[in-house]
Amino acid sequence: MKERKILLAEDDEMLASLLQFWLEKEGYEVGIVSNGLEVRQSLEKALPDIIISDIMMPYFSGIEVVGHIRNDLKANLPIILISSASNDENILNAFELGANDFLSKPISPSELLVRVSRALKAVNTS
Amino acid sequence: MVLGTLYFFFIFFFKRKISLNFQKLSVKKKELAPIISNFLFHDGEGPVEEQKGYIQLKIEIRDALKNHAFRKILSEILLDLEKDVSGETRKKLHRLYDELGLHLDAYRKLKSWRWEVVSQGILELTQMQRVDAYPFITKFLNDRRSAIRKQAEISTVSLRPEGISHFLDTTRYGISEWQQLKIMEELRDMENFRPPRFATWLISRNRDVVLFALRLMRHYNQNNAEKSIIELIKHKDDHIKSEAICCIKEFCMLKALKPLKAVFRSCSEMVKIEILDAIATLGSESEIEFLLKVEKQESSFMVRTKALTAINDLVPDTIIPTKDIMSKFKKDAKDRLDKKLKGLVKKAKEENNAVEDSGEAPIENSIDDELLADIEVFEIDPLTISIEEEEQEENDEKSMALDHDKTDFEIGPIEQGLDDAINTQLGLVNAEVEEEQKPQGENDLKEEYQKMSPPEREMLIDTLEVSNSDRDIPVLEDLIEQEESSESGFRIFKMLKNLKSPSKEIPPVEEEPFYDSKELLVEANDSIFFPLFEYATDQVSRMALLKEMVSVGDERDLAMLEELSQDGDPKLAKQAKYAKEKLLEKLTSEEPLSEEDHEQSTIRPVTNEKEESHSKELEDMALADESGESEEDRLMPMELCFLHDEFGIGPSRKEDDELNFELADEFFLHQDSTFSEQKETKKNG
Repeated sequence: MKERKILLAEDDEMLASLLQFWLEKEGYEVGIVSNGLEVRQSLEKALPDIIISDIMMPYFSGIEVVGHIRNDLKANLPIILISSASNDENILNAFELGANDFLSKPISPSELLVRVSRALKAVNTS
Repeated sequence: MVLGTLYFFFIFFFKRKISLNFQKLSVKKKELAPIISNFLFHDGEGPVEEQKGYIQLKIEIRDALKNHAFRKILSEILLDLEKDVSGETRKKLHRLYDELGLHLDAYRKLKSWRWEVVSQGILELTQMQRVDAYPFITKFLNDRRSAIRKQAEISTVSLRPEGISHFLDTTRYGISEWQQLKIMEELRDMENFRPPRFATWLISRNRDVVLFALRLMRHYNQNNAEKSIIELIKHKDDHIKSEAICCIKEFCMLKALKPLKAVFRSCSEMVKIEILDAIATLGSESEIEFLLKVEKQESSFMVRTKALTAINDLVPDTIIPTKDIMSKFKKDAKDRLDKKLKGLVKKAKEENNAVEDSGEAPIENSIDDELLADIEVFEIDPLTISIEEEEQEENDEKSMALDHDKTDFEIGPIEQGLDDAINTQLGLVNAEVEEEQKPQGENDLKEEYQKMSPPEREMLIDTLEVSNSDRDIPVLEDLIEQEESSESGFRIFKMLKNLKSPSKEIPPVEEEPFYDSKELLVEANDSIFFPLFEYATDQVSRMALLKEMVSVGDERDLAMLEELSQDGDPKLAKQAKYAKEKLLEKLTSEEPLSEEDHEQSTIRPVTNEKEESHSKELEDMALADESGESEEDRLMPMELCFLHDEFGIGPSRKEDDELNFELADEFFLHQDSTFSEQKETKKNG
């Protein structure tokens, strides 16, 4: 079975490393970027199967990344947002722009796995 | 120059050092990240190679842990990571922290003399959920260094469920508002937390503990300390009072209404507003009397406004806008409001009377007793309280007196009049104020009259002569006391005599007029019966007056009868119509009488038997309507006794033999014969 590619955008190195370890252990191919600009550059090269992005990031926020993917790239790939500040307005804004799911910190790696697999299944079904 | 160079050198040096440390830490983190991830997510069920790698990693890390700097970095990494992960991963992280022996470093930090190190140690142990550190941390609950104390408070509460009880029991220092919020947040996040009975700490000697306990009670809906909470509204601290009032509101403690009203006067403006808010939330219509009193007597604009708002909260639309309302609508508004308030306050009074009858002490009487009540746990000296309260009362009275003199906002005439009317009717104004106000008005008039020059006095007397109204009698009586000139005094005396004498009230009919009810030039209030009618509130009295109008009335009463014939009360309207017809008949048919004859005719109560029987019938109908009336009630009201005194008119009912003020029957017989002779003569001639 072909490995699913995940682009993980997280500025906290330790958390990014932990999630990468956990996701790779579950059989995903994980690429890590630490800010919004790197996300854009990475997306120009190749589109992953799913994006997991923090909202609060340098250069471009997670919400701006969602807007860029949906409006500029017109890509339909699933996006899961992570944030420590559960700002309702931000979350609603992200969902309006086309985010598929949201997780608030502290996150449970097991829960993240479940959500990732569900989002990928939803894309396959559609 | 040298100093400047040195200054910039040091800045550059330290900045570089900090930057290098940060980079070093970042590199270390990158190195350690996979190791930690490996430790965290190792399940022991992987392939043999993976197991070997894991054991090798353990050996390496044990060696590295001998280095203090490494341990410090590892602790930092784990603490950072702990904030970002949850669930099983977090528990594994805690276990890893223990296994690596990093908690021993945290314990060592507790022994430091530096407050930031101690605080860091407490934080680490708490974050890693080291329950065994609980007894060590609780020792810092009363530490004189606030940073340590606050960290210890949060740790104590979050490490064990019984931590909150221990904290509230032992803390001697104040608990800031922010700290209270943080502790509440900790309690909220605790799993399986069973809140203790926070009412236990309402007797604490620590003011902030009492306040916090009240807040926690409200937060956890613990309404099992009604008496204690009600007692706390007498506390000398405003914050505790406010919080107690909030609890009272939240838990709908209706028993607190009376104590709230009792302590009202001794409270600050902020607390008064909260009390009024509580009354508005919990009270009923019976509180309106109290609220009106507050509105009347309170000096603070905000409190007065709140009192009015509370009235409208209890009974919507009781207080309607009166300010800047166009004058032609003012009367309607006033009447409506007056009527509604009268009803409400009457009801309230009845309820209060019922309470008094049932044996409960009246509110006013209980105020002082309740205020003097002491809360032993707060060591309130009753003497101090009573003195403070007396001073407060004095200040209140002074401020109220001052407020009367220099009110910041305008009180419209309708509002003033309304206030006066309400308070006069209900006796809400205290006797002192009333006594002060009443003589003031009279004295003003007397003083003004004394200041007048003789021509001005003459002019005033001329005006009074022209107006010739009953309402001027009290003024004339005052003036006659003040008047020194015999001529003016005689004029006033003459006016008074005319106004008071019965003959003045019934002027002789000079000529036979032609009356058309639609073209009446006189108004209803020109009738001498008009004030009597306003005064007589019950139907029986009004019917009696109508009956008398037929016999003693003149052309000035026609307008009033016309108006009454369109009254909403059908019986009254019918009687008025009948009286008007009879009066018209009498006035149009009668010959001009001499003054003597007229006097005789006016005192005749009933003109003929038919009228008498009709009046009787209507009166009986009215009496029958008023169910449950005793024989005493059926008698003419005392207010109308002046009819007997001044006009010599007595009730026409035959059963009132003992109170017969009528003339002898022989006189009527004689009069009847005289009238019949006159009528016959008129018809014939």
